[in-house]
Amino acid sequence: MRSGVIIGLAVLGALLLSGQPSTKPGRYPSPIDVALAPDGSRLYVVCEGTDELVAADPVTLAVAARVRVGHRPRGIALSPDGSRIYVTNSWSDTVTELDRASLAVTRTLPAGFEPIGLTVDARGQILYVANRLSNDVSVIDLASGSEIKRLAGGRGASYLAAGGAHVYVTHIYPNAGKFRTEPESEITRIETGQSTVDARLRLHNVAGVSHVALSRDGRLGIAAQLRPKNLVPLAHVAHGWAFGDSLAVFGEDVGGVVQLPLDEMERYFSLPFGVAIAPDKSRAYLTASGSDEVAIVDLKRLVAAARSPERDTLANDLSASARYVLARVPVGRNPRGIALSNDGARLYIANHLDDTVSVMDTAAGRITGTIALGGPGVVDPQRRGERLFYSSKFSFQRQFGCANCHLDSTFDGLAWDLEPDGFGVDIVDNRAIEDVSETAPFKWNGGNPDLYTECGPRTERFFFRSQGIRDADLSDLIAYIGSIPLRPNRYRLPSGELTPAQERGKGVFERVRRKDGSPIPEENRCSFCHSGKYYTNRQLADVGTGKPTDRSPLLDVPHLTNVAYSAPYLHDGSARSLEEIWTVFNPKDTHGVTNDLVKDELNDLIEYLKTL
Amino acid sequence: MRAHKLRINRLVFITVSLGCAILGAGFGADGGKPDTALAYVFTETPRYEPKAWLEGRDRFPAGATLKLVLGQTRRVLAPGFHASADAMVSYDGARVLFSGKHTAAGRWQVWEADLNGGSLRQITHSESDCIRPLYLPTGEVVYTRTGADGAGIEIAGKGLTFAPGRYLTDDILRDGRILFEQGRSAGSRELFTVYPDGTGVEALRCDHGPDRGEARQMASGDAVFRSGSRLARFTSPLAVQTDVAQPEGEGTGPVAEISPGVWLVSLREDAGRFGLYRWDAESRQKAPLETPKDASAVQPAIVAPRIPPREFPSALMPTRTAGNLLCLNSRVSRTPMEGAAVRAVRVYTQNAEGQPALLGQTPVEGDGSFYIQVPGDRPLRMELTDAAGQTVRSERGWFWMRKGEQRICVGCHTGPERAPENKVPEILLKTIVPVKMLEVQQP
Repeated sequence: MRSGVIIGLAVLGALLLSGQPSTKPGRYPSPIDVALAPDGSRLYVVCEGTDELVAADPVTLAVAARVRVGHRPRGIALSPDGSRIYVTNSWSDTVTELDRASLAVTRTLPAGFEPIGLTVDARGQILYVANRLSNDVSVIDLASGSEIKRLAGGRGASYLAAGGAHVYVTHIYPNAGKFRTEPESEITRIETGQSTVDARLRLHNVAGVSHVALSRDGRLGIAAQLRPKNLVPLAHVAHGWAFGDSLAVFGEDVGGVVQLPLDEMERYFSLPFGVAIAPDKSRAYLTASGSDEVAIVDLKRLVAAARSPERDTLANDLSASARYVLARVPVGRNPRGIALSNDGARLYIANHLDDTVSVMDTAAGRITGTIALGGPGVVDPQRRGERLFYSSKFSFQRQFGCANCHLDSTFDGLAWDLEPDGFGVDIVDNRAIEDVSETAPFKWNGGNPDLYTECGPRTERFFFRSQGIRDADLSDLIAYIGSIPLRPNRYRLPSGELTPAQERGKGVFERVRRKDGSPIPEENRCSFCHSGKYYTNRQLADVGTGKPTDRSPLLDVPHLTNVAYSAPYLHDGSARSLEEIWTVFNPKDTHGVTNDLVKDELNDLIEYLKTL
Repeated sequence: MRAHKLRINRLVFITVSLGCAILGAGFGADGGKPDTALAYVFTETPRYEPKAWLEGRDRFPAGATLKLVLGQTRRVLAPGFHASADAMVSYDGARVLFSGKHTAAGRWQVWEADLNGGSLRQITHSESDCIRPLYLPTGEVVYTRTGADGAGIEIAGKGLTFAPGRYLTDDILRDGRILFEQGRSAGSRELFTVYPDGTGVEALRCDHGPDRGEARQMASGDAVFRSGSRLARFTSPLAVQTDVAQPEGEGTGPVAEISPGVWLVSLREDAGRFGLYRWDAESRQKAPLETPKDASAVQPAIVAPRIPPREFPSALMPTRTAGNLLCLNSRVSRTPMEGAAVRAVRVYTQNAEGQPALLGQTPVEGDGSFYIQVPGDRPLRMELTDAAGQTVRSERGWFWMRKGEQRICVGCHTGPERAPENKVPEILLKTIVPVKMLEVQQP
């Protein structure tokens, strides 16, 4: 009894000590994910912006403690017995393990490139971590703390859920596919006995898959997803013309994978992200990170729709959601991860761009409380711009926002048919937007001299098809876009030196003579066009990759920073890999001289490009 | 000096009244009590014929008077008119658009008045009747110009409707589209939408039920309208018309929303005069507000600021003279059709005699897609044919495309509920040049 009291006092003391706000001025907590202790006594909030795990009282809604974790934490999982907390640190490529009672950091575990989501198997022995940039799943033995294997996931592997004898993994970028074919994604199923991939559940015409959740009996799964309409000219937005905000429902209850919409005819459930399934399997909850709401879904009706004879036609039916969506509840800005209390009576919602957690009474379907996570107290222009970037309210019928194509402020791995150029004309790959403010001009034809032109009237007229982001708001948006940092490059050595292969690749990149000794004309050298800090001379060039459907062969020279992550390549996304740029699309050495290079030399070149 | 002071006092009164109106919208669960602070405009008329415009007749053949009600006070909004009607309050709650005429034989024109009693401004100067004006969020005014030869929708004298028939403006939807009704057969009407640049004309829903008109959008996004002798609604999740909770009697639109579920609604019993009532759907109580002895009280509009709709940025390119139309799959429809038999599409316009005239014909691809270029601002009608040239499906009505309009259809009458399948249409893999159908084919 006495020892219990002492431990309790010690824990309390630790909480009080660690409860001092560690938020630095100017940093917004930006909660991204939440989890509840198994006994419901604590709510844990992952704050991506302040590199913290925040513990809060789920009843009083008071913040009880803050603990520093790694850089850009994204996901959280608890061990089945509730004794350990695991947090992914997406820019540190690690997982922080904490003792739940003391909130002390006990270990830092290795992971792949940009770990996002994680889950622990039912036995509490294996930690599965989805790595977005290495497109795989780390399998970590918790006893030893070592990674015992890597499993190939989908491209941009990000979120996981454990159920029964399986772990299910989603990914946000579509897998590599042929030019102008439907995007393909998957739910990667791992059997936890041997930790092997035993199935890849096909998600046809899907990209941007976010969270996945399993019912407690493991028979029903739901993943939040986007159905992009990138292959149809974007002549208008009405009728779900840009995106289908939807879910994938799968498992034994359904008998396969069925895609069902969350949109309505004039009201879109923009950019679905978080998912939770009620313990009694009566309802599911999903967040719409673009339209700032939570959908309450009746699972009996959802399963009925998924098992109906017309199930394969419902994905594009904007009147289908009336069958199973009971309500939509407005919440804070950019709602992301969610967690249910054990009895399913309360739902906790991380409002990423409000720095709050909303508490919903699920029976009443209304918000009953808010946890304030702190922050600077002032919303600066960049933050205002970030809110605009993630909001769908500027597009026609609030269908989509900037973040639909630039997922998590990156890209979407898709090439789009944008109408202003004509139908089927000038297919364009969507480019990454990290650290782009000094890479003008913009657009693949170089037609936009600055970000104001790129993001202002042009976006309003031809993308949003509605009153867009204007005036001071546009300045804020530009301020935010200009602030998006370049994520850490995982291919550079800490010392700054190059590996031998990278060094050889650099030689290829900068060479001035062919292997036979003949000179390479200056304008045909890699380093001529791809020069400067961002590896672009910011000029237009004809490198022979234009198609008959392109209005002009002259293309903006793209920047190459972090080029390794942004496949597909070329202006229209026709090259699935860096290698294909030269082996498929450069037969006449018009895009640099590469046809005298052998496979190993191209590999070296790629190794170097990865470091840029 | 005294006049100035009076004006200030009136401004203060109006401001307070508007504030009260907003506050009043916040309560009102007790449907039995009139809102003493409610501010609204309505049309009082001895005779109301809401569908007379379909036949080119006056909807207010015995005149009409707009009345402004501010709590306990009421006054004629625009004295000196033989007839005034069709009030629409500006989004800032400070002004009102209406149609009015000074004499019985005169033409209806669009006018604007300050609600604080300032001077009137004439917006239209047409030789035709100009009625049912609406504010666009840009400040432009869209209205219906009507006469014996038809009724079309205009902005500042420029037409938005280019097919034969009669059209009447109803409301501006929050997404920026113009909601209007179109006359159909046997005196019935259907609800359509069009963007403010005249592009994208289409039915609001494709269940095509009974007569629908006098529509207005509620804060929920629902469109509430008169359907037959009842009120009905379209709601975003559903592709078909649904009922609304409403009091007994014959209702006529448009209704005005005080707060969610609390409306001003015109009702009558036994084909008598329409009275104006406050209706609370939740408590199912109605309270009379305006029941003039020898007149109807219709067309209520709340006087209060509200969020303006979104502006619509037109993507029309002035250099283009024709419209491009891409159909993704002409073989699919929400109504039964022998889609597999479809092999070609014919496109017609209307000649000077008002008869259909063939613009051209083109095969459809294996996936049902086709891509054509048609004249802008002209009536258009499509017909699908089989391998023998026999008609599989033919449009009954006409539509149009603006010059420079780029339009894509999912299928043949698939309805607004059908989103496109993400797939490159086969016709665009074959060519990016549309089949030109710009001139009438000689027989």
